[in-house]
Amino acid sequence: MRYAYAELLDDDAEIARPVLDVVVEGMAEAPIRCLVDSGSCNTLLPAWSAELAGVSLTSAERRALGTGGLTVEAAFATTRLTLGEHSWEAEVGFCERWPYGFGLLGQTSFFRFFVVTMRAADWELEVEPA
Amino acid sequence: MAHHDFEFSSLAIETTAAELTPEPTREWYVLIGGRRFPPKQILEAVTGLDRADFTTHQARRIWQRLGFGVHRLSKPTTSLPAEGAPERARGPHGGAEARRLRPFAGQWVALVGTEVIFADADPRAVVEWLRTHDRRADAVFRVPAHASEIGSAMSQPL
Repeated sequence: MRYAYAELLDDDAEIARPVLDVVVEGMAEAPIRCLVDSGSCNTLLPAWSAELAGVSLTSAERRALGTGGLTVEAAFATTRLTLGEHSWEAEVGFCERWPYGFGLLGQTSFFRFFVVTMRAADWELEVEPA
Repeated sequence: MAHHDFEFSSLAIETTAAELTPEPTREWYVLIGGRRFPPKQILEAVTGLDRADFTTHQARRIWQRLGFGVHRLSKPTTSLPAEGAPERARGPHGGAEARRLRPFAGQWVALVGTEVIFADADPRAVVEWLRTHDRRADAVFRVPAHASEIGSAMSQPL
């Protein structure tokens, strides 16, 4: 599966970023745009997406994380994620006071499930189930 | 219009628009306060007329005469320009995608192709709008207002 990078800012200094639009549980009407971030240990999403997707965080393990110089509390829950035709279940951290306008796809719950090839020169990434 | 005379001020129109939730746009939209409205929806709201009393063409002309931007939706596309196309140094769409998002900086948007179909400061409102109108977005995210909002963010246990 090939995906184009996304242009997020109209600024000469900025370049496109590798992103994927991921369905959280059954919330197919609103896939959440996520930055493909090999530097992130976890897959992190804003807490509101759990609420709207029906993911219960009542018994979720809560851990403090440092992200982008900020501390956020993430409630981790096993969550079904879907990318295109492919679905997988993984631990996702849902964060209150999430500072970003997108999620992060990180090592433990994304990169372990896929072979990801970035072709930055062509502004595209290729993602195949591992 | 429809045998009635109306006087509008830009402020009154923008105030009315601010209290409305935009309906899905089909082909044409009028841009008010950074949001896209069907021309007939917003004209109905400010005149109190039934939208069956005027055509989309009439509504478009009225908004154009009043100085509001009336635009046609482009066909959603995710295809990339040909190899070697100019301005590819900045991204797959040569910066066009970013320029299209510029009016929505700081807002959560629902995107179909490269077209914003709804925007709001609250992501819950975006999802609620999609559900209410039985629409499906390709992506939901907040358009960055500053470069610091799109930097990589390593998550590490503290």
